[in-house]
Amino acid sequence: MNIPVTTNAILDSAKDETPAERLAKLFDTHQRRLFQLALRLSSDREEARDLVQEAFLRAARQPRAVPGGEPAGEAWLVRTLVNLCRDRYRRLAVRSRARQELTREERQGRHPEETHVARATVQAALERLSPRRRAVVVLHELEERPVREVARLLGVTEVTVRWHLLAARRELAKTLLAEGGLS
Amino acid sequence: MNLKDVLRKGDPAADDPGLSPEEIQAMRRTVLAAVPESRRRAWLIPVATAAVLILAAILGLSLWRQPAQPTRLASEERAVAPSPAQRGRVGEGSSSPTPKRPLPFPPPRQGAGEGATSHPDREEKVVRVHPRPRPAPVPKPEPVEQARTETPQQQIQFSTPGGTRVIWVLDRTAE
Repeated sequence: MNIPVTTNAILDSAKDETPAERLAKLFDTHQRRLFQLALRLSSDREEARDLVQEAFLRAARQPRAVPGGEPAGEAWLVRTLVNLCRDRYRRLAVRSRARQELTREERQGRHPEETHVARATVQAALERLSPRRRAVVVLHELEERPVREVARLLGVTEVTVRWHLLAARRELAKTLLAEGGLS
Repeated sequence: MNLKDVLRKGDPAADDPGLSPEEIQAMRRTVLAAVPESRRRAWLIPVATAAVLILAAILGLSLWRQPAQPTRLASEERAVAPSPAQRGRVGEGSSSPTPKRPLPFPPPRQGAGEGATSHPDREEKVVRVHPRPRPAPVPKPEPVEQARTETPQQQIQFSTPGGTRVIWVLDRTAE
């Protein structure tokens, strides 16, 4: 884990910055990583872009809510993004189910390529997880972040992260075995 | 194939090139444009609060000062109104008239000035008298001519509303 040695220097410089400058720096540093996370959480490019923009807009509307410093700012953005995913997940539950049906159709005949099948299977399995659990799996399994960092980013304890990981693995294994993605 | 491998193989963001530079710039502009707006709002709240407080203070002051004006006017009126002592002086004057005393029924303003300057403590009595209806016209003495004061005899004439005419002849030498 990369802990910045010059944390105090970052905090000191953050005091002199205007909210716009601070937000611009946050955006330039984290937009790409956040977009990838949003894409893994939502499985839809347009939706992922909207989620990232909304997360940064929230930071712009309430600049004081974003804690100073690099890691704390990133954690705030990740939490906001996961919460936005959760809100959207609740609202679009019906649409999500319809999309799952569509992916199943795609897997059965339209796109027979192995990669596409694997992606659709994983997407379908991930979409069955709750947003927080999905975020834990994505951050730990796909982004390869250690449990401690996942806990810091999501603002939960390490025990909670481990519990979510265990439950998510069980759910994913069950789904992927049923779909034929896991042998 | 274990779970981790399956997940990595089917990673939704594995081959995604990410946002295009145009998309990134557009999003950056949108996000940064939201900052000044929020700052303006943050300034608006205390300014609006201060304006409301100032308006309330002005309104309160004006309401507080309004009732004070009638009382001041009433006191002024009191000062203007003739005091009963002054009225009583008519009888006094009539019973033991002195040639150099002021006229028994002076016009109200003249009496006010006198009452206010010579007897300021009598104002309390005036308050009780003021709301009463004006008394029936008291027979006004006809103006005494200045020349008569020179003579040993002095004459005071009254005329009642019924038409009765009273004439007092005062002999100065009888004192």
